[in-house]
Amino acid sequence: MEKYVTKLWLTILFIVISGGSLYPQSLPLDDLYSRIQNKLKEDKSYLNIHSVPLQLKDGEIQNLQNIPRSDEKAPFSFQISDNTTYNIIFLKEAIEVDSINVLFVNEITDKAAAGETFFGDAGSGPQIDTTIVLTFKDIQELYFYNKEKYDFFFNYVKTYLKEDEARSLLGINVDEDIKKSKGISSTNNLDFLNFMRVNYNHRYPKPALQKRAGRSRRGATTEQSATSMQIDATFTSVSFFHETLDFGFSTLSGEVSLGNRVLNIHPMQSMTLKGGLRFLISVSEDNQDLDNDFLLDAKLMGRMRLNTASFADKVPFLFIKKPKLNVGSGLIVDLSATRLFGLPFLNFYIATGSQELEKPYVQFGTNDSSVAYYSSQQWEASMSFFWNSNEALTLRFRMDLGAANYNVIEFLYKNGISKKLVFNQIQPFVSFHMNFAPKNNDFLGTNFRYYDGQLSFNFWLKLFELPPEHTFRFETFYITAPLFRSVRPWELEEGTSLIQIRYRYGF
Amino acid sequence: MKKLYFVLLLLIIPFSLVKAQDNRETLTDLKKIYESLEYNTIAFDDLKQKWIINDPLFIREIFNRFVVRDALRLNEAKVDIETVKKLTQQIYDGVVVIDLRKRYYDSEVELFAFINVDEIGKEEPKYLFDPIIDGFYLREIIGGALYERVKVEGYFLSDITKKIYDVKPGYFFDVKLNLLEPEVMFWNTTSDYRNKYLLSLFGMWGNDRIFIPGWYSKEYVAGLKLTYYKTISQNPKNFTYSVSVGASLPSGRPFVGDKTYKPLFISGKSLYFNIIGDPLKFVFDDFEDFQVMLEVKYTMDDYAKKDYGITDSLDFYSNRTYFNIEAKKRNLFNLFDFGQFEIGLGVSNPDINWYRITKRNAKVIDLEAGKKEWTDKFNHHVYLDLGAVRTGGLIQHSTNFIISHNLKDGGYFGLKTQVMLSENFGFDVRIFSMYGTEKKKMAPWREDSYLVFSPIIRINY
Repeated sequence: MEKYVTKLWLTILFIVISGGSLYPQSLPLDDLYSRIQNKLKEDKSYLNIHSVPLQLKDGEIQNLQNIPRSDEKAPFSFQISDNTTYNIIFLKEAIEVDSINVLFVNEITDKAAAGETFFGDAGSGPQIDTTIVLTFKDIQELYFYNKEKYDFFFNYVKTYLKEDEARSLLGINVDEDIKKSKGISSTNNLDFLNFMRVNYNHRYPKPALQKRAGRSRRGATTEQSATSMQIDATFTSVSFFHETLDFGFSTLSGEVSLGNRVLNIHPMQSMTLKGGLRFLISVSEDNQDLDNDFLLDAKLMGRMRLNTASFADKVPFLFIKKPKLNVGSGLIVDLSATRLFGLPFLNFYIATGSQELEKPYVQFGTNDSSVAYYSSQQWEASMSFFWNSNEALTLRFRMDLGAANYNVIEFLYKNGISKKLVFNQIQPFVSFHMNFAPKNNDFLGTNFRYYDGQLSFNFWLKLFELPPEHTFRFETFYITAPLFRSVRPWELEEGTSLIQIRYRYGF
Repeated sequence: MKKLYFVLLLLIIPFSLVKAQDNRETLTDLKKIYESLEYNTIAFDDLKQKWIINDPLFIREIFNRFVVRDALRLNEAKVDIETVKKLTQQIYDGVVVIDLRKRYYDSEVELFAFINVDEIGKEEPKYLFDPIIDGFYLREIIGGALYERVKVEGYFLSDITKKIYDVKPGYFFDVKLNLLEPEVMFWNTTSDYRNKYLLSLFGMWGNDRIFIPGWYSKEYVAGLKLTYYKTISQNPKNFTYSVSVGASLPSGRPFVGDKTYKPLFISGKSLYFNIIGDPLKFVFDDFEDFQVMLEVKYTMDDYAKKDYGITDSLDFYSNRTYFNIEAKKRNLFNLFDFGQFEIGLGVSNPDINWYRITKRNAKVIDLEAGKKEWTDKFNHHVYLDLGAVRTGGLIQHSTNFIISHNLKDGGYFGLKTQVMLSENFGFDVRIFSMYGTEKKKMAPWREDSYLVFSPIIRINY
């Protein structure tokens, strides 16, 4: 019986001993070392590890001689040399890693400087050779069996980080790779200002410099402009601004132009000349800050009739026939406001004048019986939405949604004058604008608008810039004939286009 | 002798256990280091590209590399041959696939695991072996050439990457340009930073629920819509309630024209009201996605003869009132990955009035005055709406099959579908066809089939 008991005890003893000693061997420690070393070697982009240069002093080198290494490799001794430097690569604290972990140490040797090159001489430039002298497994074995050596590297890194910053070895640039499902829309006036600075014919101050302006009010700062005035001129319009008209909270500029904003006609076809003042009013609590202030852009203009029809069909850059609609003299109010109480950017335009047409520039029929069409009033109200394709603001978009109205009065000249309102409808309109401005440099822009069954298209391209701030653009406009409906008597049967050059100075 | 053994045992056991414990701690520490080497992108785990290798031969090829390399591990330990044989049998049976996930900022594999097909889609799937969480180790196991083939996805696979919603309810604006039902969300506010009130302008051309869709109607409803989200959601359909108030405006019929049949005219100023909500949610917190809609149009006055702009004599019809109720259960189940199935049941009740304008008579004549009670002028449609809605990803759609029954002049069946590409561009098509009545017996203002469509442009920021 005792024999069996002895055997039983022996068996238990064997199991316990073998279990205790074999169990750790079944754990894949070597496997894990291999994986980590492979990852440290192969992964060039995702490793969130850091490096500090190891600059050894004479007193320290003694401790770093004959450092034992794993896998029967010969011990390694650090040396102080002009041609050899060392880097300690380590892992900073992470979610599950409480302290710095030294991962490996590499040696960088400039063989050219050491005169070890076979071809050429040292003057041919550095020949860098990087070798891992202490692998991850070596370091770990130091940690377990030679703590003093490990602590040297550990403490070196800790001391270095107190005074300096470690070099990140992360290969990906997470700041550049920020992904967004779509583009971006600014939370303030930035998109509005960017659009207006590029497309509008009046001045919007550019981002301010730090220098304080002598003339500025309420802490306003000077704009980043080399010129004291701005001019925007085409064959059909001119606007101008001078710095003396900058009153801080408001600026004033002037404009003279042809054209009509609501009607689907080109400037020459409107047979009116308008002129007036434009105010840019900034409402701010303290210092002027266009990006965040409430801005009101207001134009007050007068409109007078001008017989451009007499030569419109002869102008070489205007590919149209003679217009058919007379537009009356009157007053124009044109307002744009930035987001008030979180509302979209709002626009309102009205041009109104007398309903009497004394002497039409265009009429049809015979001397005994003729008819003229006349529009005395136009208005438009819309909301503007802005967005960009990405944070670089390279492609910038604007969409206007709103409603517009114009009236058409028919004047019949037969045995006297009789008139009848033949058109007065409120209709929706939509317009899309796109600007291409790589590196904030406006290069081209385009715009589509659909209103009253007609599509109008506008495209511009920057031709060249001359110092200090002269810019020339090529512009083209096209308005289609009515789509999805019949042509009205005051409309042209075919599409019309206009080509012109725009000169901008100081914008 | 026994005592000696016992003493030896007492000495050795603690030593062995301590050694084992030390090794286990070392392993744990090393694993933590291994798992912390990469730049942490845990916040994007659900958006990373995920797919499943289904190709049976390709799976065998990969599995065999694991066997040859002796790289199969279970609970961090090597597996025995019996376990390998068992898995091999499962692979023969075709019930094993490979679950993969790519890193967020590049295309390296960050998760690789053999998995039983029954475990796919589970929140915490049970893998057959320890998953490989390092693409470089995977490359070492299966070889560079095979690893590259795994990465390029040039084999039979199922992409199970989560499709994120592209719609941002209540950021700045949401402009949906659709001729049939445009909507412009132009203002929003919150009362506690979690909820959202969205204010929109909306339009509605015709009304599908009374089977006068889109441009067959001379009526365009326009007004304001308030949408409330109790908790802001990435899915724009998860609103708590929405209320729309509008008025009818006359519209042209650009694609239809006024054919020989008698059109439906607007015969007065009317108000439109629509409310959609989830009333049961107020009673039962867990009862979700059950929407009830109430819709009413009421014409308040009568147009005078001159308001119609008609100079000749004409008999015409007018829909002055309707009230519709619809209940819909959304998100019932995923219909073969086509979309979330939904079912709705509704009753719509439009009235039809018959009028005449003559050259001699200064007033509009009600041809049914004294002959019909106002309640007799109503039609009653009962309709069933079966649909599937897919949100997020490259292509989104809502597709609904509708069938109605109307005792007076037959019912309609039809299809409504809106398809969008990245929630930016798309189209809306609605087609209805009548059944159960002869064309000759139809009301003169009715069509036996309707087809309306519109492009859609959506700008949402």
